[in-house]
Amino acid sequence: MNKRYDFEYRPKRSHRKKTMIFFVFLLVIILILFTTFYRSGFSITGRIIQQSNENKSLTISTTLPIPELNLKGDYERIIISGKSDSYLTIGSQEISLKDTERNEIIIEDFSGRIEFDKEKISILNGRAEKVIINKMPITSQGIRKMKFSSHSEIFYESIEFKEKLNIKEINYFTSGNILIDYQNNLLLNNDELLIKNYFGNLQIRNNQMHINGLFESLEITGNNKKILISFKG
Amino acid sequence: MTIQKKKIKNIGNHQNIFNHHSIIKYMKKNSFLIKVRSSRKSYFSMYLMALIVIGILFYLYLNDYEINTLSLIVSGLFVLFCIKYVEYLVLSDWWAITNSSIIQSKGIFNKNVREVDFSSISDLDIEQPFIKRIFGYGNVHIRLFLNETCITVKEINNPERFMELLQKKITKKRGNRL
Repeated sequence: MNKRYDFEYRPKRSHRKKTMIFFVFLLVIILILFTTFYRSGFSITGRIIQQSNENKSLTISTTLPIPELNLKGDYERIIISGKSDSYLTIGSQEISLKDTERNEIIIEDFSGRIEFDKEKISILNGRAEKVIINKMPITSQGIRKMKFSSHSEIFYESIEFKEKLNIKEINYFTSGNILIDYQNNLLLNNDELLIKNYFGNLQIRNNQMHINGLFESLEITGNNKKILISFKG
Repeated sequence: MTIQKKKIKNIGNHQNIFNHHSIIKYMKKNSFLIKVRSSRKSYFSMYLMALIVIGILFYLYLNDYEINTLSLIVSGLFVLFCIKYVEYLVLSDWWAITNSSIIQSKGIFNKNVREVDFSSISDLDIEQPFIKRIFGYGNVHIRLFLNETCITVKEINNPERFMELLQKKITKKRGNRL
């Protein structure tokens, strides 16, 4: 039989192709769901970079004026305290911060964005597992985290991140002392400070930013001076 | 046209094989009465898979979930593949009825064209399960006298109309001969 004309063979091949496409479809769905819901455990390079940072970094410890920071990621616990007139949307609830003299907001297992300067938090948007507002806990119902966002700026007194966090870049004009590797002291007098790939603690209180951690490079540019500290090993 | 005639003589006017250029010449000489392609409805499952992927992404976006860049790229490629693959399958095969024969063309890059004279057709049947009847598409099987294989006009819209026209033309040709 001339196989060239035997078109009865074709449906079997096309059926095999359809099955393959269906398996690819299932893989795509699994990939989307896995990377969305188990994102913290799914990082191709993240952990490697983090480990290598600890070997290829210098330590920094300082207390400086607060810069404008824009952070995005997963945070185990954030504690915000202060007085604010803002509203918060937590899940389906709207909570006013007006009524209390001094608010304490504890956000647990937060994934999202936080942007702040020395006075206020301008963006606080993401999802959280549990939120405690003035000792009143709100927990997510079901598997999904709750939607968490602020309607307007939140004026604060302190922000505390419970775990170490990664900041790609801190760049601003500032004055103060910076202690590098627990021995070298650098003095800044309204100089431009650029810290790249910082990994460590961050606390904002008493109008000061307290950092204690590791960095990959630090650059200070001021009047007739330029200091560049970078790990080369 | 000399080569074409030679082939017709060799095969005995039952199955005429043309290359791509001769079929174009043939098309110019004999206008098609009807030309059909597979219906896009038959690839509903492909569109459904693409829609499910888009739907999941849209749902995650609306609910402020952070979608991984890798999965976004992969799903985008998958949706694009589904749409393009259906278009490829639809455009690759066509069937046409002329005054004296039926022509089947398969493939875009590797083209395979076959012409079957009405005199070599033994019987016709329509395969249209319930779902295909609801959506109005189905297969037409054209069986031949000399060959055990048959030409399947796959997943065309309105297969009854196609078969009616084919039957009419076959009857007309056989009637003329008588």
